[in-house]
Amino acid sequence: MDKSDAVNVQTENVPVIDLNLTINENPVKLQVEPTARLVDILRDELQLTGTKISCGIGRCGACSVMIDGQLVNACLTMAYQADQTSITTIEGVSRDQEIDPIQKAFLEEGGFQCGYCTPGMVMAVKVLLEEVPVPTEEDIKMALSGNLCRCTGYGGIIRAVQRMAAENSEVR
Amino acid sequence: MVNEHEPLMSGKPPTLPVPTKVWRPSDLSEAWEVKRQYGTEARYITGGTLIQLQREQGTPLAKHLISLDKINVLEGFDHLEDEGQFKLRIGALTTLSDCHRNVFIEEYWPILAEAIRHVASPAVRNRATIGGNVCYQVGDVIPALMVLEAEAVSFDGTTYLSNDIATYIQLINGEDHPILASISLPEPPVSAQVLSFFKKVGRREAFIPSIVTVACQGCINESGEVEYIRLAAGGGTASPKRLYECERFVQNKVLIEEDLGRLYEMVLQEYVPASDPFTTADYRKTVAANVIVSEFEKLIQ
Ligand SMILES: Cc1cc2nc3c(=O)[nH]c(=O)nc-3n(C[C@H](O)[C@H](O)[C@H](O)COP(=O)(O)OP(=O)(O)OC[C@H]3O[C@@H](n4cnc5c(N)ncnc54)[C@H](O)[C@@H]3O)c2cc1C
Ligand code: FES
Ligand code: FES
Repeated sequence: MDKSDAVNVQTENVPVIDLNLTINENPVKLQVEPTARLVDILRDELQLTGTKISCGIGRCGACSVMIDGQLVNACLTMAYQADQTSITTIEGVSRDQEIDPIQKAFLEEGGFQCGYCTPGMVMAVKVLLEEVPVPTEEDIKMALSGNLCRCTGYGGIIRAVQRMAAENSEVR
Repeated sequence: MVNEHEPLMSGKPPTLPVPTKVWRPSDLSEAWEVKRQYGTEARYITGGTLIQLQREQGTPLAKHLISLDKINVLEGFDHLEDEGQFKLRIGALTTLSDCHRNVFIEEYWPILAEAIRHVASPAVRNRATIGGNVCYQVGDVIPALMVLEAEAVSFDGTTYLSNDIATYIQLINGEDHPILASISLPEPPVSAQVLSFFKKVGRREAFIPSIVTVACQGCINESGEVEYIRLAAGGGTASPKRLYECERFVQNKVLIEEDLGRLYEMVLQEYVPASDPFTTADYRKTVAANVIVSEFEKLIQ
């Protein structure tokens, strides 16, 4: 069989691949199993524990990160799928020790209680506001439909996003 | 007291999971060859959302995963002209999000966009592919593709096959099933009034296997006659099916209230869903009949 270079991503006996990616603007090189979950790589190998793990099956959004600007569930992403990508986690959202305005809005609008869902929520909101700077309530509900919060109720969360939307519309 | 050095359960010692090898062929022939080589030990993977879900639910990964993500011909959209008809070809690797954002789908095949909107969440849809949804055999997008008379183009190692969606879904049951390459959407029929709906009924609005999914694409002419009608229903573990008898009943009729009672009975007869621990087949039938008839009722009113 005429195999292309891309055919086999692992050597015959060693079940690992070289993973080259950018995480929060830093280049990262790792050797991992090709089917390792991205969420485990972030949390266990790289100690980026801001990304949470809860359901493990794509239903709660606690593990949401951005891959090449798109929101994805790190629990559903296998290592080989993250190769050569650029990933932003919650740790990469704040700049120069300053929290992101979205995080500030969550704080001030009562957008969390225990905070477990919050990193995932913030990532989902970040992607939403990049695509739709002034979202409607329907846009917000749709964008957050994969993120569950078990203690706050969604009122404070939606308020936080609406506050961001109001600020964005003033800027425009 | 449990001795931590003793296994908690007697019997067979636990077997270690076999490490999975991931193959990333760059064309369909290579993918086919790898699958032939490893047979039942190999499985194709695209977005991997279903495979990862099943892995967490206890289905071990296949020993060989053949990722189709490097096969460029499986990506994106193409506009084709076929005997004067406009067609949209959607590569099997195209994500559900990209399909949802596509302006042509939104304008010409809105029930497909509507069906996609009901699959999982935005983050899942960013990875999940349209091909993976069809190959899942019970995906929510399937009833919409059926009523749009979409064609599945697949590769069987030597040639490309063209089948309707229902036939392709049956082919997947075979061990050496053809690789889905693309979905083609034919130009929708034009009419005075379009009758089109997609309804998913589940225990939650999205994110959960549906109890019933119903799709309809039809045309009503100036005289109020149903000139063209395609109906399909799915949900649960049974693959979606077209409801041909119901279509024949409605075809060429100017529907009146009494017809709806008959249509209700016909859906109950023709739609054959499966039972599961949460929902009986009878319940699914009733839901499907209610949804279809209530949509037609709106038409009469
Ligand atoms: C949280 C969550 C919610 C979900 N909700 C829904 C829902 O509401 N509705 C719904 O329909 N689905 C749902 N799913 C299931 C699944 O995510 C989707 O059906 C998705 O479209 C599958 O696409 P994929 O690319 O991820 O497929 P994969 O997981 O990569 O593959 C799915 C199957 O198709 C086969 N396959 C994939 N591509 C091809 C190809 N080109 N040729 C031959 N075989 C192929 C694979 O071998 C595998 O058996 C959900 C999944 C999760 C995790
Ligand atoms: S842990 Fe990933 S979605 Fe719940
Ligand atoms: S703040 Fe506790 S789960 Fe959302």
